[in-house]
Amino acid sequence: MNLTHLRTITWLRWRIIANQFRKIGRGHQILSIFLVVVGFLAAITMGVSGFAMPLPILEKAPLSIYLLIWAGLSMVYFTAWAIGVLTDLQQKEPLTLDKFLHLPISPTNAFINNFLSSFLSFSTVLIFPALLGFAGRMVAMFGMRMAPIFLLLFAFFLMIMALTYQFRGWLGALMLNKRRRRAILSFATIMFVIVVQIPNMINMAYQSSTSTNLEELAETDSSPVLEELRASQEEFDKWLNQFSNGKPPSDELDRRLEELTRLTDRLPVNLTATELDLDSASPTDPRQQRLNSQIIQLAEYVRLACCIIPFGWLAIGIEYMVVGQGIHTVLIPSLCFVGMLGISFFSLRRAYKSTLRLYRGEVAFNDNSTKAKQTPGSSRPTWINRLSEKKFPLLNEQQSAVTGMTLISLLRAPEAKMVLLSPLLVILLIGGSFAFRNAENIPVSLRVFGGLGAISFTMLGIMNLTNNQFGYDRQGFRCLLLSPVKRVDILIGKNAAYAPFAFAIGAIGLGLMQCFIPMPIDNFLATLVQLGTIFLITCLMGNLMSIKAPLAISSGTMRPTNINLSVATIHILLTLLLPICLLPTLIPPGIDLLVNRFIGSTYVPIDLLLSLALLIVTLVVYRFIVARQAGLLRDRESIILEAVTHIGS
Amino acid sequence: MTIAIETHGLTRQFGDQTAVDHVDLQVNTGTFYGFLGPNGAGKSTTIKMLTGLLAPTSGAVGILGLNPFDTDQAIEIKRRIGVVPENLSLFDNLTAREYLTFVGRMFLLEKTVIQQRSDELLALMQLENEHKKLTLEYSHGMKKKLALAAAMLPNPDLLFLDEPFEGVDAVASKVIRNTLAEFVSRGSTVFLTSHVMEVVERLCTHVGIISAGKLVQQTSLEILKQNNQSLESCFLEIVGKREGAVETLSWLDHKKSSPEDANDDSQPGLESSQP
Repeated sequence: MNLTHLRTITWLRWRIIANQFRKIGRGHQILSIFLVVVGFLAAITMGVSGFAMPLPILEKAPLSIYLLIWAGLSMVYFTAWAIGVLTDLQQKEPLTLDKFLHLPISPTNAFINNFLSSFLSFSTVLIFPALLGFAGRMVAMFGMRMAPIFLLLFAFFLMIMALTYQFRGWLGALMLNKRRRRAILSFATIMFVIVVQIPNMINMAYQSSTSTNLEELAETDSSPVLEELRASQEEFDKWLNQFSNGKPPSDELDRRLEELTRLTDRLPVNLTATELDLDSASPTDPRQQRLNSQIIQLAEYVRLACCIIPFGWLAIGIEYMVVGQGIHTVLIPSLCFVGMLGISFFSLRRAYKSTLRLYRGEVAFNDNSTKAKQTPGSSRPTWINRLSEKKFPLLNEQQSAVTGMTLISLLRAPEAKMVLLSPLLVILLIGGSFAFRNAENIPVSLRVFGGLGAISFTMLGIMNLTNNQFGYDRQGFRCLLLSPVKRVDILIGKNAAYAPFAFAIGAIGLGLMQCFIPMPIDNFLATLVQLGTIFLITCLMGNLMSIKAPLAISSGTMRPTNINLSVATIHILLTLLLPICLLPTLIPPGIDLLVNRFIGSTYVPIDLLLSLALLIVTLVVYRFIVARQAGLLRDRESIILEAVTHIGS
Repeated sequence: MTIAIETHGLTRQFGDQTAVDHVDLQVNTGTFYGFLGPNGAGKSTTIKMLTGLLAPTSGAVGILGLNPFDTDQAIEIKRRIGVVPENLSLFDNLTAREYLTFVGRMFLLEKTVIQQRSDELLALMQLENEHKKLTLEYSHGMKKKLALAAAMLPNPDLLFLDEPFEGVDAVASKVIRNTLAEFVSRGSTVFLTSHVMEVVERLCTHVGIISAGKLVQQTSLEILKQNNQSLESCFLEIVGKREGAVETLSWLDHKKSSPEDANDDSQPGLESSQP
């Protein structure tokens, strides 16, 4: 290994960061310094608090709590790591091997340089001190028999780094194709959102299985239940103590826990701590027992997941070290250690082989093989191609041309689809939570507002695109400016292109809400009509933002290349203003609600009729305002062009 | 005379498509070699294979008597060659001087040597006043000049230049041409690809013409001159004629009608009455 090369590449990284910092705005610089300082302090705090964690809380808990804590820490680390990898992949200037290959650097040097670079990541700097601190606390608590915990941590860390390196290399190679790059970034981000939501969904499902009817509980007389519970718990404690290895038969444990949980669920929620005797460390403390039984139950699921996913092997190894009895105490942690080291070794071996293949030119950086093959049959235009020729209803020829062009761009940009779909995903998750949590408790008369909220939320995805319409055109905006098209047609054409997405996603979001929290059919139809009103208002706000605060966007990502304080302020203010502009949409369901409350049912779909009227009014207002916005666009078009074609740092 | 570049049956396929097809090149040391061909003929793919950036599907390559696809020999070759790759491989967030310092250090040059050569190269390429500008703020021509400066910094025995004059202004182009001519006159070799016949004709001693992946001509310009043939006519003769190619536009055959007629069914243009 050539140390000069290593020093040079380290220097290169430092210069790139320093120059990027120099080029960003003053506000951004202050924010970056603030974040670095906060991150540094947070790292120290997490390390210290990991070591100084007040353990009396844990003393009453079963030993499985350590499995849960370490699994949780591993999950946090994984999340931070995944964010780091995604951010890295979106970087405009990754230090990929193709930048070095024409220089006299050996493959080993190239490999080591790249591998070492993966050590310095946000997740490592921020989270790892907490892991180290807590590991130190466990050694202090359980004695030197816990010292191998640092070996496990080392293997875990190495495994993450090696996998990161291999994963980044693999994705990096795949992403050499620009179209594929965009698809991968979008897919990876969506997958990341889904994966990190899994624990949340499990939690919701788990909570629902132990949920109680609060009103019923509040009316329950506590004393007989409490007596019965205490008796059951004493019996449960005695039964549990028979098993010195901490592994009672699972069927019997489940049955007893279920019985215990059922009794605990019957406890009123207004039961005080004194009544429960929470202050004493008595093993008969019912809430502590309930909590312990829940921990044991949850640990079963987590243990299974940790056994399957290598990221959980650290937690499994530590749990067995804590138990401290029998051969398993040594065997299982050793297996975890060897397993994690093995994965590290194989990942690094694969990564080194890939580096060698790249070095020898066996894999082309400019991969021509991925280009579309030009076969005679493939020249037939697809439906996406035909959009460029399509004349859309209600639009003139030039508006249709702008709409077609924007639609094609949106359909071919996976990152745009990701942005459009993300609010839908959130609605799915929120809807899921409603499904789990007795949605029928929401009064029927108020559900229409939930529907309006859902479609307004989906509009946030649309707004992410409409608020910088010209930024996503990049150099293409120059073509729009040079074309002899009225500026009002450009705005209407662009707005119209978002309509199919807005109506489709809004309708799906509303449909999901209707499944979870059904509302009367006239309210449902009225909310569908409101979708049009909300879309038009969103477009007007988006037009204003696009004209007043345009942003240059890196190709293949949704990240602005350079954002200054004034532009960011305009975006934030106008985004906050959107809910206020949407307030008129509450008028139809509001009047409907008041009429039903004070006059009674009229058999007239008031909400639907008023929503239609509001839509017509909004259309007139839209046409009026968009004409004024066109004038503003004409006045600012050169400023916008400069902003959206500027390649910032 | 020793051989700087030698290939035998050099072939590269991408799937079913053959980008370079059994190319046999021979470039002697001290030669200024121009590699010509229409767009998509395989010039850049060939240069990538010669510089070890892309492995051939079949065939052999020798650069300065070494094999660029042997891991150990590859480093030795890279120490002795300078490359201006197709994508330039610059770092966006470095200044020109920082980039040259980086390249110099990768070639293990002394600090003082790097500084002295960087000063001269930046002055030669007229980039000395851009010391605060980052590469991402450079025009395409400026980037080309910087990549060329970086290729020349280690004082290589062999220079590979992929379209070095594309986007470079006339003044800088002349300076570069003179520098390259001086570079060759002291015994080094230059292998360049270009579309500009005039540049190749003025600078190069030898040319190779590639078309559809095949090396269709390899000769010295001296021989062409003896045959009273210009490089452009030779090039057009070999690759310029394509069967069934469209050579004119149908709507250009007729004289343009009056502006009134032309605008009859057109849109009114930019709005003038819009608020």
